[in-house]
Amino acid sequence: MQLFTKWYVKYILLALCCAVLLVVPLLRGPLIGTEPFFTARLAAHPSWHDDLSFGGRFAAYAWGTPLVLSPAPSVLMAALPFLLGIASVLLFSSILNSFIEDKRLKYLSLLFLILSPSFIYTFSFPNSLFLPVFLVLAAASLFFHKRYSWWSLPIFVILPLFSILITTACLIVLFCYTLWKKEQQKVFLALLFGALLSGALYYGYIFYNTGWAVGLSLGEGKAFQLFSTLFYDFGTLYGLGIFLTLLATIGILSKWEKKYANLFLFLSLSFLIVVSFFRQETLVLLNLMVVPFAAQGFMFLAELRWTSKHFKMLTLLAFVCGIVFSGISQMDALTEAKPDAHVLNAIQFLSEQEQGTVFSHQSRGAWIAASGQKNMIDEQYLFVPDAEKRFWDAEILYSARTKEEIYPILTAYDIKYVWIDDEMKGILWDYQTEGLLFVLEYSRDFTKIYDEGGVEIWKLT
Amino acid sequence: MKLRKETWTLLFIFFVAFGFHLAFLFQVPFFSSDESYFHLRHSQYITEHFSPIVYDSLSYGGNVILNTHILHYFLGILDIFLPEILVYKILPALFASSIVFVIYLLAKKVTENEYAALFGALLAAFVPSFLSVTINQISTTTLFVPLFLFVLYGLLTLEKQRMLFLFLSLILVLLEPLNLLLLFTLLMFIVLSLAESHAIQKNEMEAIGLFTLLFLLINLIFFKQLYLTQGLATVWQNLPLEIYGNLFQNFDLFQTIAIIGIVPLILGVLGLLVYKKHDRTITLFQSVLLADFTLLLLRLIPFEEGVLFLAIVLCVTAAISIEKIVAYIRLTKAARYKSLLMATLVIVALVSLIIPSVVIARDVVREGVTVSEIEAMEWIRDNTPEDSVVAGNVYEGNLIIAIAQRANIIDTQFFYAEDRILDVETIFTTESLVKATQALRKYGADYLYVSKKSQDLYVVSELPYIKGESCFEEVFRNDYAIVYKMVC
Repeated sequence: MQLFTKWYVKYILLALCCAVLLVVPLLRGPLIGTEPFFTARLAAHPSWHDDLSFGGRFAAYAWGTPLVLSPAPSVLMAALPFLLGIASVLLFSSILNSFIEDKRLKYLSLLFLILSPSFIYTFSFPNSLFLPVFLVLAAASLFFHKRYSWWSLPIFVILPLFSILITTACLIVLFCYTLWKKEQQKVFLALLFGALLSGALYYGYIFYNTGWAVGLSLGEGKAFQLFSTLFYDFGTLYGLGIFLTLLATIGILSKWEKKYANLFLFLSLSFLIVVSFFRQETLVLLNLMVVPFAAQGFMFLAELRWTSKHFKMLTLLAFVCGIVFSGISQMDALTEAKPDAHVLNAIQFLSEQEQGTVFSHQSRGAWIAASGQKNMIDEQYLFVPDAEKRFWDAEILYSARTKEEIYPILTAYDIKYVWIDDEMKGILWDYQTEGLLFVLEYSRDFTKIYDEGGVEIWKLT
Repeated sequence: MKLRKETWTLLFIFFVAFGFHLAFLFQVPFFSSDESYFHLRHSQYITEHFSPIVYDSLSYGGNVILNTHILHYFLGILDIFLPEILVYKILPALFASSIVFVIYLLAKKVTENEYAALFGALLAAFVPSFLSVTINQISTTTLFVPLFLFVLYGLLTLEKQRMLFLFLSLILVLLEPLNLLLLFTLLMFIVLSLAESHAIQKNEMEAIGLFTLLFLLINLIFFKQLYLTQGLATVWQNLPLEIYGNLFQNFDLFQTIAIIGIVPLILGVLGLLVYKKHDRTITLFQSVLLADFTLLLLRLIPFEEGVLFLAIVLCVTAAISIEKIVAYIRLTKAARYKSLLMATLVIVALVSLIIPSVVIARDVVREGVTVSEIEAMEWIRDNTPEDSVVAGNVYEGNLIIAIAQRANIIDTQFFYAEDRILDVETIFTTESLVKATQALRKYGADYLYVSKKSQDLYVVSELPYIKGESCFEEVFRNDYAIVYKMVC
């Protein structure tokens, strides 16, 4: 553990951070999943009206990220997550300076942060999280330095434009802090007021134009699954690493005797754990809280008197391997994630076709819109007045086998194309001739205009 | 080195157990389970190529095989130097028989009485449930059970056998990464120790912690993709619900008692009841039983395997009964007949175990895989095109791949396989020619293999849609199986 007190450790950590954050962009590029397509489209044409989503709707989105990227979308999308990732590590280090004196603990925390699946996910590609997380770290870093704490106000004023949920979670954590420390209360009130005001103005404008945001009642019934909701290793997109969590538990237990002295940390942690069950975005904040505890747990184990040095070495080695494995596993998952070259080719093909609405699964909506065509449904359903009706109609289309069922819906939404791919077939149908697949295959009204790499595009003739 | 009388007796018990295995396994030139052929094929592949089959083009007509291949590497490497019969037939029998040593050690640890420990070892040599899954078979259970017990022994003697625990627990996790029995046992051990206010020794906590970490790490490394997509449901191994029913629901009390053995059951339960000393050894065995029941309730362990571990723990606790009975007899006027009484008890125990063991072993060898079945498979291998696909039931898939050397439509490698169990059931149970041919065509089947095993499994005497139809041509028939060619 003495290695972590050397002067060059911080440089090694920075180099490691660069290496980790470069893996996915170099192997895969910035276009991972659906978010970069959505963000790039908004960044290229910022407007309050989105012509392509849900066949045209009021653009009630968190505009912060697209607006930051809009000066040079392609360049900033490639470079900004990486640069802000490094800056976030420095900011996190600055926050740790306010709470931790032990250099070993600080550097170990930074190492665990860099290797955590959540951090790798956030800063490896242009998603909706990298800017809000960076801003939260910047604001928190300023807030905890008494001399600069007022500088965090402008950040909190713009933060609701990036993510209202992360802003709220961050404010609650800071509330716990001010309650515990009994200081910075004025600054906190100013932050709260600033964020509330800007949030109210921004979302007030959206509500004014769209009405109240409606959740969809037909969403797939999600079971309450503790492990697959919280832990990356058990299936969530960017959750906690299981080994980090185990270490953090040991760290918390080792500090449990001083629980009243660390009330702020325990309260914030408990709050974030509960919220993370319901809103996945807060997992990135939870990860930031878990990492120092994990470092504490690791140091506790390393300094403990063991009965066998073999057990000690192997236990610590298993933890390190587990943490590294979770990180590598996240990089691998991002590198292998959709869309692949076949989907990109299909998007390109679609962009060359004449204008029309494309019907597909909602998870393909962002890709369809990225091709310049209108989609019938996508995943940005909040604030869309007829979202629920569209989802039900889509359900009918998936399972319909007769013209009588299909044509009224096709006409109502002016659908011209249908996008089907292998993954979608797996999600929606059991057989090759089930529901809509049967109609597409045997009806003369549809022509297959594209069929490559498992992606089919059908045109209504 | 001069061996003591007890050591000679233990060796004698071991050789009797080993001889019992040999007596049955040399009755037939082949193996007695479908699973054996899976292990045989993969081990032989490693012998030839030094690397495992990762993508099997014959399983399901193409399927990713998710296996740590520890057993296959072990057998495959030995196959390079040793004769096949020694590696695949005799070595598994040797492993299975080695259970007597570890039961002896554990029973001695509990009773501190060598004779009682020898009695426990003798019972373990003939546990019917263990014989039914090990005799004339290549199976991970053959290795898993003795290793599991050795790991428990290592935990009880951590101060002296630290490396034994470490090394064997690592092998155990690698052998069956999704087997939760040891993990649950160790966790139950902590819970019971806390409940009974026993101080858990520091080295035990360290060992249990390390095992848990290794278990997690190895599971996440090997099954990462499955955990990411299925979450914790991975522990159910993507087993189809219908198979699940077969594995877990056919509970028959009398049959269960028969495969445990009436003497181990009575003496074992008695041993648990009369053992008053609450120490860590007995707590550990209680933990195994609790873990076993929990896994059975959660359906995380096949019923047969659950019963097997129950029977083995009862062999150890039966030694406690014997020790108590001997101690009690010594206090009574019957003390002078002690030897006679003990001899009678041993004979009764042996008879009550050996009879069901012989019956089970004979059934396994005669009915596990039959000569006629092998004949049918060899006919398919010699008389059908190499790229043909053969439809059989789920428990014949590995035989079709290994002996007939043709692609199957289903076998027991479920991890990445699509769920075809209902279609296979349709093929064997439907009366409709259209439905049957639809299901067969869906998987590109060219031949339909209808065996007595399928008839028993699906409770049908013959396939109605074949009679009088010109879609299926009978190309092979013997007393056990018929092979039909699809001609329409």
